[in-house]
Amino acid sequence: MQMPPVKDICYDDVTVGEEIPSISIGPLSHTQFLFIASSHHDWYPGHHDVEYAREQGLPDIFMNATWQHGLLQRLVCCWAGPNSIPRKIKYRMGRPVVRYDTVTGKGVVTAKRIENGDHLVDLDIWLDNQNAEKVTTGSATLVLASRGDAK
Amino acid sequence: MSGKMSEAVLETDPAGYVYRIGTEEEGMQWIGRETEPVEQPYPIDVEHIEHFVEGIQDPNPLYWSEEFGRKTRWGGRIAPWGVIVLTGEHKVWRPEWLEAPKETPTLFMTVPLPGNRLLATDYEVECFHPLRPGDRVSKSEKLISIVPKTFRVGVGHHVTVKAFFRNQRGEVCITDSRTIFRYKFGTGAGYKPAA
Repeated sequence: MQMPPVKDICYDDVTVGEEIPSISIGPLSHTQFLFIASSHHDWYPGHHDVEYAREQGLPDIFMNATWQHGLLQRLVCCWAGPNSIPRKIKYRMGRPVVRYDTVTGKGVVTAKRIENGDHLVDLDIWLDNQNAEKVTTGSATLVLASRGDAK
Repeated sequence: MSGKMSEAVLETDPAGYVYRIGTEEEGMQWIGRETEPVEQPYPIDVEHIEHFVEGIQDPNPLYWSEEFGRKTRWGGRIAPWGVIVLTGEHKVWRPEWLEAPKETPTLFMTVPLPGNRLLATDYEVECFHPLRPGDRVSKSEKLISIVPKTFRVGVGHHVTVKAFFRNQRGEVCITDSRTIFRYKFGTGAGYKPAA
């Protein structure tokens, strides 16, 4: 396998209303929850101890916020390319991501603007579960390269 | 479990998190309070980065290859924001003889409020400079707001804290405004997803 080429989305080629390619992960096994707890050093029991999570009134163990942020960052950065800058990512976790969920990240471009010389693109982004329920909703602002940058 | 220490009533939840218990009025007086920057005990390293992106199954070569990174505006491998969670204290076990790293309790738990549990609800992360392998990150916090709320899991408050992450050159790399629901265990009606 070869390393992928450096390939970026150009600001000039982005259209408001366009959907970006979705990403998916899951079904999320208990092992994956343990991996995340360990790899994030996040041993809050609600993320790995089913009994504890249920005692707290939750349906099952749930993924932490940092994992969700990482997934949203993967969604927008894999689309925009390695020279993009993820300036801001904002999100609300309305439902927990629990064991055996399959999570799909999606996004739509909502605006383009030039601010202080930066070519900015705004997106609505969200994570769906396997039942097409939005578990997390948010927005992102990225700085993209423009054709003028190369001149 | 609860106890009184230095005039503060503290409660420890089953997860081992310690909360300063007080009234809403006491908590409101803390709005605007800032903590001193504390350096994270571990620098960012490539193992942190790869471990983090492995959990997200992120194929972005920027996180996997120095060679690829050199071909981009970044000039080398960089880290996704979330890696900063890996530079904090390891809390599972340390030998008794080893001096414990400086505690950096978060304002989410040190602000006096009735709640003795928490759940994260909202995040807003802004990135200004990339984090790279070898960076030493310092963190400080500011208490932004406290808003009374009731959800199915309990009665409590939305607490918003803004965290500032600086590299070893003092540059603010990332700010992270996080809102958690801090609630009193046993005051809820059970789980129901938000509308």
